[in-house]
Amino acid sequence: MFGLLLRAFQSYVCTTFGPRPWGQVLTQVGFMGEGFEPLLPYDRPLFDRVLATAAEILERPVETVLEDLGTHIVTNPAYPAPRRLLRFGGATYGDFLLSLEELPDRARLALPEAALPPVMLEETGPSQYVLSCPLALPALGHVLTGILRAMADDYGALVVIEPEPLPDPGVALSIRLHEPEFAAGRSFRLAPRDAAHG
Amino acid sequence: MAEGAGTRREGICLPQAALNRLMPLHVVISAQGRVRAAGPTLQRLFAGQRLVGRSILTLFEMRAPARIVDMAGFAARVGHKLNLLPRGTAPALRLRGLAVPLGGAGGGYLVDLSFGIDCPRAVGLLQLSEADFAPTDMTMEVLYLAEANAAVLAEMRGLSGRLDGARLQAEEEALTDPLTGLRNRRASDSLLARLCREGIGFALLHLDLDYFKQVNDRLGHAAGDHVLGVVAGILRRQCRSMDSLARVGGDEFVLILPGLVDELRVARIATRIIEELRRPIAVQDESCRIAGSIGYVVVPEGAGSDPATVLKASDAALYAAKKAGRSQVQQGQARPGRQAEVVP
Repeated sequence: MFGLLLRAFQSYVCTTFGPRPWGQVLTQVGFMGEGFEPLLPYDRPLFDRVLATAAEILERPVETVLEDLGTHIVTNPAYPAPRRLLRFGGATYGDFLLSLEELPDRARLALPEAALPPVMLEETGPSQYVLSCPLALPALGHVLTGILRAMADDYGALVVIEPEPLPDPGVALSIRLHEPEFAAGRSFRLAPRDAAHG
Repeated sequence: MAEGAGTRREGICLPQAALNRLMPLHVVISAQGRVRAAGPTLQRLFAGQRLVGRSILTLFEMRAPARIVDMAGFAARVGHKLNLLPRGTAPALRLRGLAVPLGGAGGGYLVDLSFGIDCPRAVGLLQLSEADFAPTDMTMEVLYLAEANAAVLAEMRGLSGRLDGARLQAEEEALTDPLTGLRNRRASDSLLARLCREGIGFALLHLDLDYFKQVNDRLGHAAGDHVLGVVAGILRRQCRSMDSLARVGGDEFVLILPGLVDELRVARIATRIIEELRRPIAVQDESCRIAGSIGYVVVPEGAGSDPATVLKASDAALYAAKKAGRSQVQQGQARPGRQAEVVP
């Protein structure tokens, strides 16, 4: 889990700001390796340290860095897998939102050790939802916001996503779907590009 | 199937549109095998062809498992699994199906089809979308899983490639000194190069032990090893966990303190190390004394120094410290493009 996050974070910092600041982050954190491996286990304190150090070096609030990370995960053209796998959630943004409850199970199917916290989607009114992950780290809420906003662009939907106050720790977001088909969105084909003749 | 006369037949009646949504890959045929209706996804398989009125025997080559050549053969396999190969479509896709008899006066059959294990290929060849499948169909999950597995597998391949490269490198250049648990010269050099390249400020302390050879000669190598362990402990206590402490020679150490550019603080750390080293060390019921000399360099942030200049400056400072007598600390200067010099 933290391997995937750290690797995505590395990709985000290197692509957006270049390898130099990333090198500075690794040095200041005291990480001796060249970079993080998505399938290797790392612990949460390391992720927290990398995040805090990067926010300091990039001179951005941690929340902004995390949300940009979420956007990067969906929009990075060099690594289209996350966006494609999320698009399997449904043909419309509404269907995609409904599919998020299945996301932890889908992830586990592909990678048995992937332990995503449970996700719940509640429809609180017409085109109005509350997405909650009671067990998620608060940091994940910002990443999730970035992912959901980028996916809305991908579907061409017009949404407003805001943090929802929670009595307990965890993450909750309020999502208002203003226009499911506001813009054209990006095309999505079920078959990956290189499999058409496979 | 054989129902007694007078028994009321239970059944449901579905509009074609509902059937299309439930089973987009179905075909309804008459008792003679003529197509009466075809689902939208089946129509995509025979793109540009008019299916209604054609015989199912001309559309598909069917096995169950023996070849089905006429409608009598077909009727005999109703209710059992069928293997179907579409005729006359360019890419050879394999389908499987199940035929059930229709009620009503006309008779005939409803045949539901599926791409089965061939579905990823079918989706690519026919450019199918989610709308071509019923929401209850597991095809989306199969496609998702195939793609997720491919992504995980690609990561695995990448990981094992990188690990293999790293393993070869690690065998060549292990980063720690097994005796003291400190880093070795290679690790120290690699950090120094990184700090210089990234323009991060740091202090570099070059420590050389005095009288260490005498301990080795008098008490043996085991005692010498013990003393080195004690020295490593002193260095660890005086430095932060993020600092790089390396034994780079028999009794020579290089300490790199990233981010530490306050000259006074560095001088204090160096002096404290020297003081600690002068304390007697207990070895095999005896007490032995060593000492140390330190030459150090403070490289401010963005100084543009190169590793060779920094090392040369710290060497020169260490030499000056040794010349000034034991247990001395001396600062050196490393300016890019200039000769290393020792601050008087």
